[in-house]
Amino acid sequence: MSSGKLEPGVKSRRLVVRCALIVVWAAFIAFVFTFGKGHTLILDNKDSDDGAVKAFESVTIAVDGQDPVDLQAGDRDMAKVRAQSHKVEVTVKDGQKVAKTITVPLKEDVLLLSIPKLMAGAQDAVIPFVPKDVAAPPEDSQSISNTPADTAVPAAPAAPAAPGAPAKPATTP
Amino acid sequence: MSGNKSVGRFLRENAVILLFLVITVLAIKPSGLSLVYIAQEMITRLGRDSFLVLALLLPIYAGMGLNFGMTLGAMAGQFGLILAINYNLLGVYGLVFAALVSLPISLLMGYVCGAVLNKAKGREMVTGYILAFFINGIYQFVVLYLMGSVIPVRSRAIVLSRGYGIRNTLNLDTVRLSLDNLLALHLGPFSFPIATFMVIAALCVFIIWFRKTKLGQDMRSVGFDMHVAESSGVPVDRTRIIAIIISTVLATIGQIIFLQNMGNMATYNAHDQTSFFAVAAILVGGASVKKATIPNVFIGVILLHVLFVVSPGAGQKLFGEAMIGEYFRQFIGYGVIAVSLVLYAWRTRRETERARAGAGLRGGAAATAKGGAQ
Repeated sequence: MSSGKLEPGVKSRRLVVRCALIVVWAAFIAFVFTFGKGHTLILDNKDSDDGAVKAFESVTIAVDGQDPVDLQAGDRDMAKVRAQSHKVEVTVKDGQKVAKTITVPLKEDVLLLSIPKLMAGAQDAVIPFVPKDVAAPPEDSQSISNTPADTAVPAAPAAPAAPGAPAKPATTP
Repeated sequence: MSGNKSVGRFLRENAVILLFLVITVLAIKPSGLSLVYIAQEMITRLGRDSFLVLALLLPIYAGMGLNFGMTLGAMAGQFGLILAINYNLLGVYGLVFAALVSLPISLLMGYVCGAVLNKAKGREMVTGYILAFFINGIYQFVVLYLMGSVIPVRSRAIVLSRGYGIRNTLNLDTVRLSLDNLLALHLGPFSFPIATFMVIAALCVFIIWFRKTKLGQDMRSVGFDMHVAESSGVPVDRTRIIAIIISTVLATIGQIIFLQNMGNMATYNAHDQTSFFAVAAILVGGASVKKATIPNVFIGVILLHVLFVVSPGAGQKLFGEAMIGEYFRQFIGYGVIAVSLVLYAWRTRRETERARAGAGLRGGAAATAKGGAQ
């Protein structure tokens, strides 16, 4: 859509501006991705595999100022966090409160945070969590519709879909 | 006599809005819903839908009618949201990411749509409608076959069990109501999504400002008369393409705002009725194919959605079947568009006839005067 009869100076300036805009756009995406990426932290209060670090009898953990979680020895719980750097406040049974900062890898979705290791200052306190076997959620989502619950009505009888074709949930605004 | 004429003119010019107002008011009582509930619904739905409806304004200013091609922008927005869910981006960050990722796609779609509509001057609405079907095929191909096979998808929760293709319905829990709750104000029984309203207000300010710019003036002159605009040096095709590009980008953002409010997304048909309901809303608000204002948008969203809220209840009460109310929504939506277009065609024809008659009369009068002078 740009005019073809432009002076070379204007052309090159326009090109520079456009390139700069693309760079800003890409940088903005990278920023949003880094700071918006969600992670699930599995808070783990268990003995380490080699037995070098023992679980706390009772411990309270608050991640990024969220509601504190109480864990007994051998317990696990979960916290959802955003971005990479997080403040973990650990309160052990005797009331001693310790605040630690952890950094999670950008590409990992689920991480295991070992509280005993964290308190012991171990390097591997945060490790990627690899589930043994995860079944994908069932594809029974056709009952969900875009109709708000308060105005929802039974779905109209639909013609049977062709094999393999996507079913159509209601989309009333 | 002149009073009767002006009343008649008022009725003719506002037939759609008055018809809708009467039906809505009549349906409120049998619906059994409290006014507080209806008011809260309207606040929510104003935030949900206004942005999408505002996206229709610029093409109307440019004389391109109601932009049914905004569905293209909606599809781009949905693609961005799928990626945001795939990468587990939370809250407003997820929405911004979706908007940024879908921006180049919607720019391209807008350009394609504008270029096609320039080839079909005078038939923009039906062309846009059909173009949306065509692009829908490409969207389905990308989402149903390429995502997971060619385009990497990390989240198993959104992929079909066969390993590629996105599921029919996506749960948008990670971004659900993130904009609405960013700055929510609770006053008595009402909750106001202030952040969403601020975004909508910013768009209104942009539209008002844009109309005063050189490009905005060009758009209006193109909308008024394409040939005169071209003669006076306005690049008509370029201006029309820009109008459609802006509308498509706004539709992209509007669809993201709409879906964050809904909280789930029908992957393959959430966009189907985006343009349909947006067009119905702006027409109910008193706009026409040639003329629309910002107040038309808000009046239309409120009126259309009051009817949407009360019609299932009214249908249940009056006919013992809530489904009738649901069908009534569809009937009203399509009906409003049909009535508006028919009224517009009727008015245009009448004005043309009047203009012809006026020209004939003037010609006759001039001839008489000339003859008299002789």
